[in-house]
Amino acid sequence: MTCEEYRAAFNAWLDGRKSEALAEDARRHAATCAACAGYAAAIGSIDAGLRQIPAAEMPGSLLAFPDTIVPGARAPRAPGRLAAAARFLAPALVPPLAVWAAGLFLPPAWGGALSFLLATTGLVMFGVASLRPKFSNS
Amino acid sequence: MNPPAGTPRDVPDDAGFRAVFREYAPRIYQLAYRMLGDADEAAEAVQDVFLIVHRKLGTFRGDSSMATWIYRIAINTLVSHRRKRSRKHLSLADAEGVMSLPDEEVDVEAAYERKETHERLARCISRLSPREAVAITLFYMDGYDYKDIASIMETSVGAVGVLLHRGREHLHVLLTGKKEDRPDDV
Repeated sequence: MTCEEYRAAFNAWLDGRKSEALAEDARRHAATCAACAGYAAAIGSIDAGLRQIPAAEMPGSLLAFPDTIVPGARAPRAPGRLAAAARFLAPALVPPLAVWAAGLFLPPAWGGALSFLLATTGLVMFGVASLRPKFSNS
Repeated sequence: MNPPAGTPRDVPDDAGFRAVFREYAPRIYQLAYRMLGDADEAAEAVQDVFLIVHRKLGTFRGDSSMATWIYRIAINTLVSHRRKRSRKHLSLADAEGVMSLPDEEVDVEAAYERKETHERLARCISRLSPREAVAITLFYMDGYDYKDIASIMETSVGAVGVLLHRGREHLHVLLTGKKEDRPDDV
């Protein structure tokens, strides 16, 4: 067995591709060839080291990646504080503001009608806002 | 059910993509991390790989296994990342990182038992040629056999053995700065 053959056989043996026919030849070769014995020790240690390398764990942040590319899968954004406050206050503020504006610029009959319209709109908005589902992360 | 050849689905199934991502992203991250040697770059590469997977999922015809198909996309993407990185970062300091690995370790076996040596060994994988790094990672970290690796890498079973053989020898040189005597040197 030549050194080249020994090294090929040794690497195959490391990979679990044993050849019993070659094994005895390889043992005899290593016993008489210091270079190949050194090679086997060095490469065998590399093999052992590779088998002990722990798995690299994927960062948890990557798990959300599909949310960023699947259409329609993006999680709904929570309304900002200002938007939430406006949504809450608008129905309460619209009717008095409407009455105030109508009294300033319009004849009483028109002002009354507009006030009624706006106040009704405010109540409808309040109802819609109450019926909308709350934001949820789930 | 896979669509027949030549009639890809236009819109990938979102639930299907999510399942594919959950199943394969950790494995692709492992490969990316070993090939690139950097967690941030690996994460970026995984995103690039799965953008392509998402775009092409509708064209997957089942000619090969899903794993093989995704690994092929990953290998092409990672090789491209390595090329870009070598253009960007190839510097003396980077080269010194490998060259400064201590070579005074006479008792190589004892040195390998130390944790830091394992980490150095893992980092050295990213210095191998792309094909050697892929073969080493698929064999040692993912536990694939020669046949699967050959299918993923679109090569022969014999070539996989050669890649592993050379990969181990190159790792030894990178780790110790020493080259084992070649048969010609004897």
